[in-house]
Amino acid sequence: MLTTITPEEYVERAEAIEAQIARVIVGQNELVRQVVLCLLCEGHVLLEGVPGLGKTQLLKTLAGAVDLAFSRIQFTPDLMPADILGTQVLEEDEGGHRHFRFRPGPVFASLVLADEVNRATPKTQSALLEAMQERSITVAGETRPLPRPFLVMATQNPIEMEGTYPLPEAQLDRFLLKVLVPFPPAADLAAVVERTTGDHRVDVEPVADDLILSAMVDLTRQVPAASTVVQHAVDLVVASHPDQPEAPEAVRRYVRFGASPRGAQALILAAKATALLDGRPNAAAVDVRAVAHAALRHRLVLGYEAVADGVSADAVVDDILAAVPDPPTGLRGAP
Amino acid sequence: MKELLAGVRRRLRLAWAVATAELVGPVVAAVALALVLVGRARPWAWPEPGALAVGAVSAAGLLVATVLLRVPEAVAARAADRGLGTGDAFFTALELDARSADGPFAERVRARARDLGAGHRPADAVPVRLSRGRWLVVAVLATAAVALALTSNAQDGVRRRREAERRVLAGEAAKLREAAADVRGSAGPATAQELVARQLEELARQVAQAPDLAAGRQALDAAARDLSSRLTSGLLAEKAAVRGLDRSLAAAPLPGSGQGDAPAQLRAEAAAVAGLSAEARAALADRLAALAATQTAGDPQASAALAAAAADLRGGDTAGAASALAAAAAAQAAAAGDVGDQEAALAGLAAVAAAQDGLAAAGPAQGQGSNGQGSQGQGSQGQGSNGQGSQGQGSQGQGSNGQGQGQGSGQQGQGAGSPSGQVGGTNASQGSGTGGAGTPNGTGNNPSVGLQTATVFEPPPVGSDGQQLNAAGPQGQGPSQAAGKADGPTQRNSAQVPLADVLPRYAAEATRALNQLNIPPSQRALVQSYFSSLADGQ
Repeated sequence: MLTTITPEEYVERAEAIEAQIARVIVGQNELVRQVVLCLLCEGHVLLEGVPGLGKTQLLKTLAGAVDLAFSRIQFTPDLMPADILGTQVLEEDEGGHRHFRFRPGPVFASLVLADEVNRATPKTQSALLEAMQERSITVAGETRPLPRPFLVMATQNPIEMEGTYPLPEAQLDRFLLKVLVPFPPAADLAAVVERTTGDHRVDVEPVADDLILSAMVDLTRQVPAASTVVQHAVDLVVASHPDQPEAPEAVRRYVRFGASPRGAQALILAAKATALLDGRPNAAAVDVRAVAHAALRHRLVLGYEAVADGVSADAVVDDILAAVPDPPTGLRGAP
Repeated sequence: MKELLAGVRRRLRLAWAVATAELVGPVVAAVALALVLVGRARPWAWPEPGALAVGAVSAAGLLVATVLLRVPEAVAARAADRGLGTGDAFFTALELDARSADGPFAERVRARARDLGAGHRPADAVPVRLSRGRWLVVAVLATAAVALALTSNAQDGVRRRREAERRVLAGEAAKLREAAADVRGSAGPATAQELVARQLEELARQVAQAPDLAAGRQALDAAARDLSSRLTSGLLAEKAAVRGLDRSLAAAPLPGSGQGDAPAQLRAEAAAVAGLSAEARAALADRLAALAATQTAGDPQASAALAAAAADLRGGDTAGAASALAAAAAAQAAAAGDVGDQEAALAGLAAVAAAQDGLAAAGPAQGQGSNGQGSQGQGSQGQGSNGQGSQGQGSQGQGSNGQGQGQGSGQQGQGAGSPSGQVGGTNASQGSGTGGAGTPNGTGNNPSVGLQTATVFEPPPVGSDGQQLNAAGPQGQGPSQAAGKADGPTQRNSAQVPLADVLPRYAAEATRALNQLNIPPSQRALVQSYFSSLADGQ
């Protein structure tokens, strides 16, 4: 059954989801907003932060706030692709006939939490490539669609490099946003401690089901974006490439490869959701710039000079934003 | 929204004009100031008007460009979005309208744009911000330029003088063109007139384009030299001879020659001379001899031919007389043509001389003691009258002082007439005084100025025809000295000669004297014109 939703209901539902998350997660409003953005765009999200900041808790809470099939995969070095995708098992029916039956893996869920995704081997990590992009998997020559909406929410730890396998660029590119989980302010931390050390138990209630979420995802894509807004997103992506004349000095010096076209898509899609959540019926350049860090930081392949100079991808994105301002009117004296 | 965008477009024009003025204003003001400074340093006429023109043209150009500036509605929408921070609402609405888009958001976007448009003013969307620093620079530079332009400086006088010179040059050029037209319309050989007329027109062009009086003078001097070179020293005598012969034959035609000008009568007489009687030939010989005598100074060839014809007639050689008469006719015709050519040149020279006088009167002489020599003071010739020596009076020699003023004064020439008049009788005593010699102490450098006031010796007119020349003046004051008895009434003597007979010689003498005195072409033309007028009026 096709469900439609108005922009007002869209905002209400999104705020309801954020409210449910806020019952568990203290503060981190920007983090929560960006994770919800990914949910509303049906885009995969990669959370990166040191252990103990609530990455997994955030995603589990989000899964609880929506009435969707949820599965969690704890990535370990010995995790195999079949452990994610599923496998063929030989079964014997009552008639004594044996046949293979596909047992779906945990990826067959609307919300897939890939915890510590960089701990699995590249072989296992790549098992998610098709699922994340095509929203289907192929096992034993048979392609099986994944449920809609389908959202991979991954976490990774940036400081423990021993025994980890950094995600390949191709897989990173499939995440709509990469959200950095900051250390909470002291006030929030106190609230976290108080909330988690008492006997008060918080139950998260689902406020949206798959139909509503699908309608919200559809509505997100219908938000109009002016040509100048799209062009601005394109300009940002183009400027991230060191071989482009528009590239700022930081890009030329530190970036080996710039963002892919998926970067521009991510910018516009996230901008649309941002505009809607902000109560505006159209995406604007300011929305693009607001999500630029999350949409581009994992799509920039930095070189050795960046590592040597301690330059982060976010710093490079800052330079890109400075070099590519909100396009002016082109008329002298105009704002 | 449309109303807001229309207002935004107007504001964008204003903002563009202000921003452009801030961009080019300091440059324009600096250029104007530089031009004014150049105008204070150099006597050129264009820097200060140029500074004004730079400012005016820049302002006018900015105004025109502002009016003509095309501000598309999309640009206005974009500017409104940026200025009001509306999150691309106006631009998106315009695009949706252009695409006639529909959907769950199209009408919402339009409605939001309408709401935003109703709640804001164009000035809110496009604030015009003035850069105080730039306007301060413009104000300082412009004020300095205006102040310096309004403050008098040493170059202003130079410019005024040059402007006056330019007007004088233009006026003289116009006069030269008029003179060229007059030369074309005057009687005489058309070829010579056209040549002189074209030369005058070219000279007018050069004078009009001359940067200053000196250049104009140079052009005029060159033209005067060229025209003078076409004049012969015997022009006046030749003209007097030619015209005199014409008039003499017109008044008393040669026997059997009929009417016509002198060459025609001479040719007719050459054909008819064989049929004349002895008495007629004798009378003709006398007439031709008399005519030959009048042509001696002005037209020697015609004179010789006429004398030869007279001699042949007296000798009975009618064929030789006819040939000589034909030669005389040819010589007379050639002389008439030569006189016509020179008269055209003389007319041109007169125009050039007038232009030279105009330039000389208009401005200071080119002094500094380098352009000439002090004029010579000339003492006029003293005159004694009635047997009593009178005091000769030297005329005032003048010379310019050579200091750029063009005026000067020499010491007065002094002359002393010697009292050597002798009483010739009771009724007629003649005296003669020796003219005093002027003391030429003029030290000016412009000879023309000195000569403008120099007197020209002009002998008193000869007594009227048939009147006895009597010295009837009062008795001298000094003691008279008896010289003898009176001779009674004075008889007509050879001093009373027709003017036509002596004018060629007088003119030749005057021309020779002018040539010897290194007279400027203008003054030379004046004297020549005088004698030419005498020749025309005899």
